[in-house]
Amino acid sequence: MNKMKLSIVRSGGRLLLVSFLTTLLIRCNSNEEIVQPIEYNHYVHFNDVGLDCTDCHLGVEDKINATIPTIEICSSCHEDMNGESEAEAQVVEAVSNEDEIPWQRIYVLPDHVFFSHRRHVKSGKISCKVCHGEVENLHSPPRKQIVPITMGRCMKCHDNKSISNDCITCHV
Amino acid sequence: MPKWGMVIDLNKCTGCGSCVNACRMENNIPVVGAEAAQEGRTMDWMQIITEYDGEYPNVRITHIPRPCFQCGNAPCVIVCPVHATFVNEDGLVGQVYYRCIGCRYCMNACPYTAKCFNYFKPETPKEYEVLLNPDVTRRMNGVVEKCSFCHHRLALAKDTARYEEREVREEDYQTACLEVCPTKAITFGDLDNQEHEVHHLMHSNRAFRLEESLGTDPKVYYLKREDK
Repeated sequence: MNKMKLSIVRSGGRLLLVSFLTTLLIRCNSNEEIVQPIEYNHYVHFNDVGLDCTDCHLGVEDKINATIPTIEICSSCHEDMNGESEAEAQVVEAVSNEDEIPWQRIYVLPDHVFFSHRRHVKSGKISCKVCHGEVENLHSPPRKQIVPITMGRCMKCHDNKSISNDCITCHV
Repeated sequence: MPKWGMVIDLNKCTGCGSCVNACRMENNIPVVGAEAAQEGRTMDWMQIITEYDGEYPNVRITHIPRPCFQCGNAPCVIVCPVHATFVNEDGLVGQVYYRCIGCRYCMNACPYTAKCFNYFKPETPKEYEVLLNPDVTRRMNGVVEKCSFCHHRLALAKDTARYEEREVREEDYQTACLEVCPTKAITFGDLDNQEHEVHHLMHSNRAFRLEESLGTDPKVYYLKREDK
């Protein structure tokens, strides 16, 4: 009888552990696709126009947080049509109405993580694609993180470069 | 590596409680209400201990502000079964909330009662959300929390210093309790750096540390109260 009780407790415990781990995995590696309001073409901006990431995503080299471009940044080139795409027409319309484009964030760090862009990009001399992948070759906006950002990945990189892996360096 | 520490002048402290409130605001510490306070569930990272000497009307009152002492040989670190609390390379005692299992061994081990248990889920009325500090995480219920020497400010200071290619200066990293102290009773800096004021104050004749005989090597020094 006691053995039976013990086995029930054990299997219950295992079930709890498995369900806990599954929830953790699902939360960490959410595969939910994010659709952007406009079919933005990184390839054209990079390769045809010759822009760099930091031309539109401000704060990458000199601030803690990088930014998603505001309509003001788009307006410096898109007050009038430069091409014939439907996406550009939507941008030009937004610029003329001074409406912010509701871009969706793909990279959202939990609030207990401190991450500084300038420290990684300027001081650490890490290129954008190490964490964000080959965005410059995309013809449509990424629907999820190209390189999934996980704590394990951060720690591995810190290890390789002999950077501190002390918990409170990143967790506040 | 710097050894960040604090010196509190008990001659200057009036027990006004500004440091306690500044700490609450800076670190998103919830106000628990009268009922929970009666049950001993307040979560003050900075507390003012009041000491009374003598009998009325000749009473001598000393207010002793008590943050976490960031012990070099921290008893809380030794007992933590999950390595959620540890002494880091800057000499600060870190508390990783996502690793803490809420066993409260560390609370029992701390001779200064500097740690507190969080009984409450982080809930803030919408109209008060603007008052939250975005640089500090809001702890979940069921974890132990404590004063971090405003360690998020050190993260920012280090970031700026690295960006400007220099060392962290004394004025770059100052705690919230210090900033609001109206009598400037609190001094903060690198205890090992001769250019920092704390280095000189800690070697003053009046300097002492609480329960020094325990061998915890606290990084908070007090300057003894002297009646004039």
